[in-house]
Amino acid sequence: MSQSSRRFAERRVVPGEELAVIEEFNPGPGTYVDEEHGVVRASVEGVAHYDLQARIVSVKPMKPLRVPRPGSSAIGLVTQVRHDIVLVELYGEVRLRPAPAWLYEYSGRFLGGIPVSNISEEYVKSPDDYYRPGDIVLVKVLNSRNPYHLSTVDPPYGVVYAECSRCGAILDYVNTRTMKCPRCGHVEKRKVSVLASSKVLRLALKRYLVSYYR
Amino acid sequence: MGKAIGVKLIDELGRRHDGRLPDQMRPVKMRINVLENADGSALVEYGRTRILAAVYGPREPVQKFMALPDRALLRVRYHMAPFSTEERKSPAPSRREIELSKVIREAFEDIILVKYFPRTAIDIFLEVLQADGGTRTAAVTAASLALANAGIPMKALVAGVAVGKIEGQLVLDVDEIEDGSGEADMPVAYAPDIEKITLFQLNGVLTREELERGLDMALNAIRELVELEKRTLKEEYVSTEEV
Repeated sequence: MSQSSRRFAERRVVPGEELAVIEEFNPGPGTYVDEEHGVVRASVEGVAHYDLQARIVSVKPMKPLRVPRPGSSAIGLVTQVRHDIVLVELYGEVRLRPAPAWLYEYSGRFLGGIPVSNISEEYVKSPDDYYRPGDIVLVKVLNSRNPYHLSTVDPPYGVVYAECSRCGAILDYVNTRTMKCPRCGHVEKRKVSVLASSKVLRLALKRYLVSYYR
Repeated sequence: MGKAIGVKLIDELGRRHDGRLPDQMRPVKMRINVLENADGSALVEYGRTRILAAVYGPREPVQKFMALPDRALLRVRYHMAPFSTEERKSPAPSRREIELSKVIREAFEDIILVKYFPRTAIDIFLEVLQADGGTRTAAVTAASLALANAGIPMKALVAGVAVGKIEGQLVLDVDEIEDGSGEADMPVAYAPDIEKITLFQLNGVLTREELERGLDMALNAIRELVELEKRTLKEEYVSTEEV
């Protein structure tokens, strides 16, 4: 037993390193099965962790890939509003709890879509009344494959930054369905995030927005 | 560079022109995290050969039509800097560079777990900063380190080394002078953990027995190189000179 507990202790591993025989452990994240040799190997550099109860071995990466993860919150730019889907270019991940904060930029810009059914809790007749191209939105990522499926049904998700379609000024938050232009008084319909009025989030996004609009 | 006339490439004691034994590598240096903008990067030196590797991705390919529906698109650019050789090299990609890019890409297509990232691209940039023979094999080693440094899932670490034949004798890790006047040059890339040869070329003539012995020499050297890679990933910088 002492020998096996030493073998299955946490340790630094690199890609290709043998973690366990296939019969001993199931492959978890950061590992793969080498069928030819009948072993589980690490696929990324990191710390190997053996779950002795569930018999799963996984590797926690030293440098996690910066790609959208299911269940995470992302910031993106609305690029197209179609009758059945809103296309969003995803830029980076944000954290909503305990306080909204910018986490990191993705390793590239990824394409995602919010289907009409995932825009809001209410019945959406036309996505035009919820999003406009150029809006910066907070979205929830639902899957882990490239055309990313997104949702903005929950209250924290929706528009966090939008410009007035008449004069170009930054719209102010009124309620979760309306935004108002402080300069010309134009009122526009949006699915607004309840965090749109959050100073913390605006500050976190400012760095990014400045670089985008430069 | 042509033949080095009047220079004995192997002396009576069996030492090579730079004092190495036939089965001895040049001093190797490896370093990771050398670039901030790239997701992963590495700098590898085999003697005077120096390669900079940068890995980006997974990201959406710039030309979206190139994206593959079931796996990541792997793109490799092997390029020699104009100042890397004695005579200025035109910066435009040559026939040779395009071929090497393809060969190195194929060396990694079965190593990177591309199935995890459909419709994305993984870019590997390999810049030869200084060329002194064995650039393609050093480039494979640098690419492997940079990929691991980027956190891209892969089956195993890969390293490369070339075996040559000069004056009838097999030698490990040929440099520019030996390559120019040697009888054969055989670059090999290998992943020791999964026992897979991912790159194999042969320029010149070797007998069957020589080929087997040469391959053995290369694989043994690569095992040591991969050990160095593993240490580099844990320690950031490793050199065989100080040891």
